[in-house]
Amino acid sequence: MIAKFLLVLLFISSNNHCYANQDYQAIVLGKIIKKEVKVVNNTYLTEYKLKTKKWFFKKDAIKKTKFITIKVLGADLPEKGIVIKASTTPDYIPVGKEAIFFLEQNKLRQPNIFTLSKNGVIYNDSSFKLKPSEIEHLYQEIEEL
Amino acid sequence: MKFRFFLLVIFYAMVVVCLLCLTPTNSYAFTRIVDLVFDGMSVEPDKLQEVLSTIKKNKIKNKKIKNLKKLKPDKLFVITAKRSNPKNIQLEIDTSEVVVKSNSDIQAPISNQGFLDAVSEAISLWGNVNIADISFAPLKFASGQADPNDGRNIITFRGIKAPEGVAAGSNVVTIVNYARTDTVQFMNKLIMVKPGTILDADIVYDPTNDPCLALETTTGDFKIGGENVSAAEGGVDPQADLSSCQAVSGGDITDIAVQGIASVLGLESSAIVSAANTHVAQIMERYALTNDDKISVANLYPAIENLKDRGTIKGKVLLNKKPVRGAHVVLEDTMTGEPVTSAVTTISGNFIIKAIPAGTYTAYAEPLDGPIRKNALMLNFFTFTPDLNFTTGVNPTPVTISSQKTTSLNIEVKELSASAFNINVQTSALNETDINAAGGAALAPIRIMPGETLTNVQFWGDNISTDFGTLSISGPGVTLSNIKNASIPVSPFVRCSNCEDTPTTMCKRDSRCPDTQEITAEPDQIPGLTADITCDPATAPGPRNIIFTGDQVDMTHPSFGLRDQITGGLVITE
Repeated sequence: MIAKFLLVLLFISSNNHCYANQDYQAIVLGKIIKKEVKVVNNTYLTEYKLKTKKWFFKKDAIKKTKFITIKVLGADLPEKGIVIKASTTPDYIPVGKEAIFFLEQNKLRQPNIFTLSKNGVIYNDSSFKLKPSEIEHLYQEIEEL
Repeated sequence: MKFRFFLLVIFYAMVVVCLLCLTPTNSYAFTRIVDLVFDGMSVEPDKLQEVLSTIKKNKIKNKKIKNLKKLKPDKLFVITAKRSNPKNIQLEIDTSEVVVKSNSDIQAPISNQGFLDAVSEAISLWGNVNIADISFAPLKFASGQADPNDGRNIITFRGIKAPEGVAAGSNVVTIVNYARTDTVQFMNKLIMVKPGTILDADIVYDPTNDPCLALETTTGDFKIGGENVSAAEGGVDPQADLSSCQAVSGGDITDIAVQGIASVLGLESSAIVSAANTHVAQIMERYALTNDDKISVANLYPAIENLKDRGTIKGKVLLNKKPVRGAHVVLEDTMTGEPVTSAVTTISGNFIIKAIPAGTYTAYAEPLDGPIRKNALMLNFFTFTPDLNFTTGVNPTPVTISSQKTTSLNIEVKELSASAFNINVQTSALNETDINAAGGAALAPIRIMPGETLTNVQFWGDNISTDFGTLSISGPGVTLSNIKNASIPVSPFVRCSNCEDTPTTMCKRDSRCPDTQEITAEPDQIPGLTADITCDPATAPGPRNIIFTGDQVDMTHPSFGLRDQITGGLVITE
């Protein structure tokens, strides 16, 4: 079940960018504590500050820290009445509640600055039919990586 | 007094009209949801269930309230994306700094004509759908970056200067700016628009300027660059080390543009895997839209004069008389076996599809349990969790769609049981290297030419075994043979770790691991089956369904009548 889940996760994560190197730099349980929209060279980015609770997996080059930054293309601008979405970014990133984040980086490889792809967040959503016990198994699988 | 009452009536009539203008059709098929609004406020995705129960309570309360002023809000408004100018869609293409990149030599400069041709092909595919009332203005040439706030729809190869918001390896990003409300601040002005209006859309190929990514056309591989463009600004880096690239490739520009333009039009991804506008991973150079693609754009922008021989279907999917949300409803042509169109049911279990060719169809409702899952449908559901606790329900009799008429249909489904199936396919055994190199592209659909036979195609999933049922392909012309139970490697995780030979120990080398590493774990194997697929030479091209149907009546595993399918899982190529 878990293997299948991971397989599907990988397949779907590659949506819209076939041939992509699916290269998770870290998989972290944590809670987003701050959200801020930034405009960088005409492009809207939303910057999230994540308070980490548990590191399930990380590449050697990544250092475990209490807080990390996640930058995601797109922004929700209620004061302007517009919402800017990129096809590769998650539809919804929960703020203030625990979630599992599959963190990626682009080639800039800035230390502890990450991004998320479309399916880069797992939160309390039964869409994968994951029960708490199964999520626990997922953690174990990830830890074995 | 009477005059005041009259004013009050006018006021409420205006409110109702205003609310109605926000109310979309009751279908989520093909349309992209921009926002959910309740009581004048956006609904946070994690508050949706709470809002739905408030609506339910308010509806009950409102039945007892006679004073219109005291009515409680009892409607959820779904704001869907749409272009306000579908008959004059202006796309601008930036070909200013495109040069070719090939596997052997990433620096060979060529004309940018190939890039222009490849994108033009995609535009003409959508523009030539005669049942949709859309047209594109002649392509403009542009220079500049994607900017969601400039009102220009730019297609560019130029990497975004702030690429930290894009994951490595992304071959394209489509950035779309939607109006959430009726008054928006756009291009430094306050403007009035219909909520959901697409204000700006940009398509950016190779957004992170990944040296390992070379997109291709039929005439060559492309990479942004030019001698005068620095690597930091998106140019080819002549010093780039390609030795660590697992593959210098990235996908077909036309194929990607077809999907990007679908986003520009405001279309939702299809849940039929063979559609051009779908987001299941696949390798496919496609230069034709499927019926599903065409019907989807016609649902959003109907060309009424060309829809006279087409009809509509609407209805509900029910499980134990309760509505099923997020069910994928499919119409399969009874003559050809082609999945012609589909929709996903709403929170209330409803669906509606227009612009369906008159004819006879097998109608079924399936859970979004793969290969297409909820999350593959872009921007559609927020956190709307689809029901997955049911098995495919096929309407007992074929459904007739008549010209300019609406057919009503309720599809009953059954609860998921231990005997239920969930079929998946892979055309080759996968390991982590395969996945990384192909991005999961080996998943679906399977492609077969008329006259061709594919051998040992692997299928796997819950209860997929000859002990419990039979495998088949919808429609005539495609046959299966040599069907055998087998162990299928499904995990992508071939695990490798660094290793050096010593005088006393030898590393466990494996071709699936890098030279400096040894294999530490094999992929998981799960039960499944293999089969040969043969396509008769005279078979009409188009998508088909791969179906697994249970045939056991014994009490220990009563699978009889249960079925699961990969909708559009096989494509007969021209």
